Amino acid sequence: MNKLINYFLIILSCSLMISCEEDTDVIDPDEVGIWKYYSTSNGLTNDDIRAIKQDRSGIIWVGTYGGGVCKYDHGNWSSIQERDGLLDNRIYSIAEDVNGDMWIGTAYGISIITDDGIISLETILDSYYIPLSLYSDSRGWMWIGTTTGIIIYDQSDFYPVSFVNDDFNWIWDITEDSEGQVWFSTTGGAISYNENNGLEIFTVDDGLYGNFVSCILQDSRGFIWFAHLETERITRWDGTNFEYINLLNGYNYANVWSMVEDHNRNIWFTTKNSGVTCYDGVIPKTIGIKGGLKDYDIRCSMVDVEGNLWFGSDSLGLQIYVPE
Amino acid sequence: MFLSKTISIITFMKRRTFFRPFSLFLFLIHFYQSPAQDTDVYGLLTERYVDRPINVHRGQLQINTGYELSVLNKKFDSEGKAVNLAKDGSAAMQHLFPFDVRYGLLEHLQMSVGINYARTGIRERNVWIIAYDTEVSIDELNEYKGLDNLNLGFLFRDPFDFKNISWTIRGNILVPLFNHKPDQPDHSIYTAVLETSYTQLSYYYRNKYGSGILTGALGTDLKLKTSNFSALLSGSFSSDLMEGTNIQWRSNLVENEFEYYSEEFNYKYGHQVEYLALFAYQAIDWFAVQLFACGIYTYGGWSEATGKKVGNRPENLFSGGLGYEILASPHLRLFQTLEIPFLGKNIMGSFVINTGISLNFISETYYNLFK
Repeated sequence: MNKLINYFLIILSCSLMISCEEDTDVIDPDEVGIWKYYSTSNGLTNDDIRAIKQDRSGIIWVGTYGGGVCKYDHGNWSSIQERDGLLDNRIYSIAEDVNGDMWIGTAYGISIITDDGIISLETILDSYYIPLSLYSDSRGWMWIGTTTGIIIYDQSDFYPVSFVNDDFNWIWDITEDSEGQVWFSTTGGAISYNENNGLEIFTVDDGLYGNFVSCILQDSRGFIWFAHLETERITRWDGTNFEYINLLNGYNYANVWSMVEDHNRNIWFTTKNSGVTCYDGVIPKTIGIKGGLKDYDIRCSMVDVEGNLWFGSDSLGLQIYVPE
Repeated sequence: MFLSKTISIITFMKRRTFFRPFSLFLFLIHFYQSPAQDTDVYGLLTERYVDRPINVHRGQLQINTGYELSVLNKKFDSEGKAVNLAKDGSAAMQHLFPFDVRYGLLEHLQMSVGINYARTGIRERNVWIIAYDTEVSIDELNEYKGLDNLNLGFLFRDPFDFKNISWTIRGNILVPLFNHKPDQPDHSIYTAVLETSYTQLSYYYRNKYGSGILTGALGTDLKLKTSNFSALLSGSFSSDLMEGTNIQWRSNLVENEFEYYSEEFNYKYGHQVEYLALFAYQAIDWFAVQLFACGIYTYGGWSEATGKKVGNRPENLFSGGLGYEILASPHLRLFQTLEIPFLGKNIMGSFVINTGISLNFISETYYNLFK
């Protein structure tokens, strides 16, 4: 019996000792559920943020309106501005093409940052343009959304597309769904493109809550979200039915500038005057200055590979939320 | 997790066990022999509280059960500040039914088996949102219900039989035999459209009570006694012996209907240190009063519930209380304790009332076998 007890004690003690070995890859709970801030005081060249993009090497590119592009590379900030060869310091959009080159949409055209230098596209097909949005799709094509329609670059030539109704020529945002269909957010509604059906237009008559579509997102559940400005609600489409979601941000319009889905499948909406709203699939929760934001006007957003949420403010720099 | 920790702050009297009713019946028939007053067994069964050893005697079967009511009315934040949960209507009750059986294999060796059943409903503060054309009221109820891990243990007392001092070492294995994964939630939504749209949203999460992880524990007790007083000092360390896997339910509201889906995640509860200091005074031969202080400290552990492997915040709780024991008959002891939380960090504090009975039988044949 004594032997049995000894064995039991030894096994139990060894097991407890093994279990006490520290896990090295555990994140400190005090390092999550917190906000971090970047502005001109600690790395940025301008506090008006218009675009954020993480490239495949992990570098985060931040487009400012007046300070060029800022690069965040594992804790260090650097910048690329007019003096370095950028067409303009006012940045509207950023995309990475299939070759890993960064396309920067400025107020005077596109600057392509390659390993060998900067290529300037001041005009395309002999026309000036303002690249409001850029998107590199799964085919390897670059889509350029301008104030005068769409320009497609298939890695050899540029193809312009414009609409009779000028409202559809203001392309605020471009995205692609899981079936390879490219979506365009415009002042007049949403436009989709696929190779079989060509271009298809969605407006209030088709089920959208508002015609002004500021951005489009397909979430991991397959819903397509259409964000609007100057409306009470935003539109969610499951491919058949439209639903209208109230962001519950007080008496303000929805006024969504951008949308992004985090690693926990929550959808985050950044708004013009109500901060950000997190939607868990049931109830939206609005976060304002009391919740850790610095500014209520958040223009753009991005989720990095680690799941951190990056928010670009209209005048107060970057605000990064490290989720719990 | 705090629930399992909260209920584990229990005096040494409350180690739990599991027993099948039929087996229990057989044991009772075998053991229930009214001891004649001149036998050793009678003397052992009527031992005063302060004179009793920490373990049960050779051949003694002890069955402990009862009811423990915990009022979860306090929450200690990360800085140790106590938040009164009753003020915002989110105080909760926990009903716990402990059960354990101990048996004295030898005069210095006790085996035990135990299990708890608990039920708690923790209500979050009601949230009311007024928006552009909508009002929303949100309620949330987190229910924890079911059987805890099966607790198998042994306790070895020093063989020296000193008059005023004894000490023990004990080991326990907590086996997750029962389903610990939460059932699908049962949320509900009610919408009325008047001048504005009104929505009542009720979240109802149906969690299980068990930790779901194989856990090991080692502990020691030291008992000092004089004629009418005794002091018991206990300490134990427990830790997960492996990673656990659980699911969390998420929901999606589509056309006013809830759609549910679950996601699996890994976790570890970490390590826990428990301590107890108990002082008893034998007022009358059949009545003893107790004063005790106890605490738990939990550290380590992590959860991937959010997609990242985030460490658990260390928790600690220090409580104190008093109690009494009545020796109602040679076979029946009644006890009651009252526990109040004083200090803590990152943990719920509960006011605990524990009422229990202890049935004791000694097989005279088995006891005398070793004489």
